Amino acid sequence: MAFGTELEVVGILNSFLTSAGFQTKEEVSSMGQSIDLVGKKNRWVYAFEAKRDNWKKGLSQCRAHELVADYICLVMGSPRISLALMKEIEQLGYGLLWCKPDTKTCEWIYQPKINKKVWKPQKQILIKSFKE
Amino acid sequence: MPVENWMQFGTFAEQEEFIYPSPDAYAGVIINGNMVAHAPSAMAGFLLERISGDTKFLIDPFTHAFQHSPNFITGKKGEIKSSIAKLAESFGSPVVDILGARALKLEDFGAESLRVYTRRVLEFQRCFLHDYMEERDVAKYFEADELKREPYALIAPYFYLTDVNYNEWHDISVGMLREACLYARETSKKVFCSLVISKGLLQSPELKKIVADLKNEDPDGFIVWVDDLDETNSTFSELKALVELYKNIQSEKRVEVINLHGGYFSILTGAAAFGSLVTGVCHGPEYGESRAVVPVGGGIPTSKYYIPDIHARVKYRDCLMWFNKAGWLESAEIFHRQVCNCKLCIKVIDGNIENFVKFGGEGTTRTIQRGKSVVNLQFPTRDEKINCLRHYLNTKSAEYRKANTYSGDELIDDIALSIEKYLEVTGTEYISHLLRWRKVLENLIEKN
Repeated sequence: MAFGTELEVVGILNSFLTSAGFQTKEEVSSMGQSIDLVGKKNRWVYAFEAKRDNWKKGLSQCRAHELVADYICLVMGSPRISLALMKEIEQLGYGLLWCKPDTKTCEWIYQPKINKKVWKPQKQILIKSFKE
Repeated sequence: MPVENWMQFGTFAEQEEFIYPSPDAYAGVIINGNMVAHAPSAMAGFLLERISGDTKFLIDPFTHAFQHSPNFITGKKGEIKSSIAKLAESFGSPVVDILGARALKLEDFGAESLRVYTRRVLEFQRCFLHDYMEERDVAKYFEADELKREPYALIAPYFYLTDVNYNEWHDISVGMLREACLYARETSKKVFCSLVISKGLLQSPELKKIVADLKNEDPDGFIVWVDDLDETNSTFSELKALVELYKNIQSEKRVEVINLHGGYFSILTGAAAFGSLVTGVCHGPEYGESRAVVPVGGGIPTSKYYIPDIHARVKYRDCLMWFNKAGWLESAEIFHRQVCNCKLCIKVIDGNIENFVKFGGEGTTRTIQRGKSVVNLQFPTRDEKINCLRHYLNTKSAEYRKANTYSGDELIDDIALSIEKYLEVTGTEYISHLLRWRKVLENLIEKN
């Protein structure tokens, strides 16, 4: 069982986060890229990149978000989560969410650690895009 | 002779940049012939009103355009681009006869048609704009001999030579250059030979003889363009071959040599310390330090900041990541000390490092279709484009100044310092070209 598109993964993610008290917005532009989903909880900004399979690409997309988000999360919509991915995530301090194709539910595998590489002026611009 | 800063004319929207950072910033301007044919009145205005009378100009006749498949010169709907059609009309037979139907063949030229064609190409460069210059309102302020500006040199018709086709096109290129040199003597004009070659030919042993044959016709200079050669991405052997090419052109008799699409590496080869191998390097307003002969366009524009130490344009988000990591965004003072203190950066930052966002952090959002999805993407704002462009032009001016004033050891030490500074910040991958440049230039000093 697999998701047809990344949009499906993002849709399920959105519902999951909203019920957890997040304000959310999909496809938020930032420095020439588009972040799949930005979540805001209190003053904290979360960037979520969703992938159905190519987790390496997902991680590289996450790197640019280190400048703008307090927490960075990779969201995998794959049938399984690889051990190699879990090791990378742990090392990077990112969060890892698993959106399961069979049950269409989300589960935290790793909670993200606070990202200290944020550059506040650029984060403020992201928040402005989020509110628009 | 100092290595000169030449800039290629791209669009009329960029006219103002030809006097930035100062009216004498550019020794010369290179203009594509199809642009001249397409907008002669506006081009006459640019030459008379926008740039100083001391700024040289060349008109590239763009003759290789007719050598490729007609797809190269047609628009999206299959129609011939009007600028090319007008150029072909000026050049006459055989290009106007075959336009749009097929590419030029050698058999299209006989001895007489070669002579006539060559002269028409040269006459176009020399005189096409004169009537338009006379019609400008400002004409009344010019003396008669100042009004009808002529190019600094005329460029002989040329073809794109590769390691596969040079046998076919070389002899006719020599023939056209010979005819051009005859015309030049009659009109007391300089003639340049345009050498447009593939990377394959650049590294071929055949190139030496090709250059020798062209030099034998005694042109006053060469314009060099290696297809899609990006000096920040070239191999060690490509850079060495480029230097060898310059040396071959300069052997026996020194001539003017302009790299049509070059970067800092070529600028340095023009330094006296490295043998003054080139006399000028041309670039566009922020682009054009490399160019494919058959261009591949498209792609979404993103803001890029030219990092002075790296001598390359880098995406804003990568710059931000590196500068943030290195601690260079902690204050305006640190930024100006470590990254750039050009007058544009000082003006934009204005004492507040948060203003670095004005080089690409703000953007304007547009919604575009990407496959089945719709995405929101940021495009550079007009102000961001201007900021990046003018910072680039400031930095380029500084590069030419360095090449013309530093000793060889100072220039190499300068590169070494940049490597040391950025190695921990970016990793080797993004500065590997500096390592290659240093090695090639060190070899040049040893041989000199």
